[in-house]
Amino acid sequence: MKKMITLYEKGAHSWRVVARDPARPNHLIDTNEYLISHGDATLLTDPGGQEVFPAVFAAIAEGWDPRKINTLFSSHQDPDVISSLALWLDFNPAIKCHTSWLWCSFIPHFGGDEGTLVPIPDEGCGIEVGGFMLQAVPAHFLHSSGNFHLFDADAGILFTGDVGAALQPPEAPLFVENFSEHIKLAEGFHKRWMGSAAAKNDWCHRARALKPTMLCPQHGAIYRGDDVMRFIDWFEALEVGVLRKAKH
Amino acid sequence: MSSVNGLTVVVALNEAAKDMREHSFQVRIRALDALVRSAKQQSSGLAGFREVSHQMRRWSDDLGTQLESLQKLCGESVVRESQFRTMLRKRRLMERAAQLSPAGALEHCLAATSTRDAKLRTTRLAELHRTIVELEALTQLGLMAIVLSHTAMIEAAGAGNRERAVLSQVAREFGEHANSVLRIGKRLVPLARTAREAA
Ligand SMILES: [Fe+2]
Ligand SMILES: [Fe+2]
Repeated sequence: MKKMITLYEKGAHSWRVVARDPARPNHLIDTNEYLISHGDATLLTDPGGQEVFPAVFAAIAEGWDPRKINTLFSSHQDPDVISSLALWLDFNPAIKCHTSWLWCSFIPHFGGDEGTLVPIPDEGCGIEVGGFMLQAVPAHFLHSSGNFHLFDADAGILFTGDVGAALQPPEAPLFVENFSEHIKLAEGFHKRWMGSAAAKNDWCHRARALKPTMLCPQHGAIYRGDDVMRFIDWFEALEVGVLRKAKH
Repeated sequence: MSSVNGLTVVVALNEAAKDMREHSFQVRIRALDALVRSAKQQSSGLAGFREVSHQMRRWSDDLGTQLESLQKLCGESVVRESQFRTMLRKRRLMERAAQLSPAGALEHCLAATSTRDAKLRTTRLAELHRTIVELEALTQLGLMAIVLSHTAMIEAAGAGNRERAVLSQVAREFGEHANSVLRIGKRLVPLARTAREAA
């Protein structure tokens, strides 16, 4: 079963991650779900695909109160990000889901109605959780054409969706331990998934200026300390939009 | 082989409807042809045949109405079957989540799911039942047409030498179309019954 681990806690403000499911079938990509809580309200980032809903919900119910989740943040429209929406709405029909305006008429194919989705404009905006303001940071074309990351200025944590993602086994450590080894597991993914060099460089400038202390991707280990800037530098230097040639 | 369900019935019905529409069309053409031929004859002995031709046309109309009604039912069944499959999937995931989670965490979801599930099952059963009734009506239509084709044969026998062969041919062809429709109906009724039992 997935585990919930606390990443940051200060008073009523906290970040938790639901990660690493050893029982997950191999044909499903592993995902990290982050719970950002302030007071009695909780936001869940990229709640995951519908097949992983049981594992995600169970882990949250064990370590937290899922009834506190009143907001979802969907970095983009992929099924591994938000296809569990209908199940979350079954649990709590009042849940709102913030996502790029671009996907507001696409994501309802997974569930919800005209009142469920809250559009984020291209330039980003604040998203309120229990009176605390998180910032939706533009990350368009990384990899989705309408894509946002989420920054918490108090905690210094940046949720980066598919940016920073690495394809790792479930027993892998939660935090990056050896950057040069870890990044090998991220390279192919970033070269292929991230299609725009201009968007990537733009994001690198923006992310560097935020000075995050933790960079939390939707897949794979979390970057912290010096590894955050190491990742941004590596990403800036990476050639993206590369289709690997077939071996003959 | 995949098990029989509402979608299997819908696919079979749609395929059969294509065949039946063709039979209906051919009967209509034949009925018109027979009407024209009998109108040319002044003989009062052909009045009965004219009546049979009218009935053939009416039968073709009835078959068309019956097919339309089945088509509508097919559309509704596809919607219901899709809802049912989605519901089964959601229920499986919700039950799994409840099993893994602390007791009571998802009780209200499971209760709501059960209510929706029961409603959907009832509607789905009612629709399958209606399909069976419509298919039985179709079978009856086939039977009626066979009787009608026999009457047409008798009427043709009373025609003059020149028309007898042609009109007998019309009656025989009508009989063949009627038999085809009856066969299709008889094939589909058990399929729909199996789907209803499986539901
Ligand atoms: Fe994605
Ligand atoms: Fe992803």
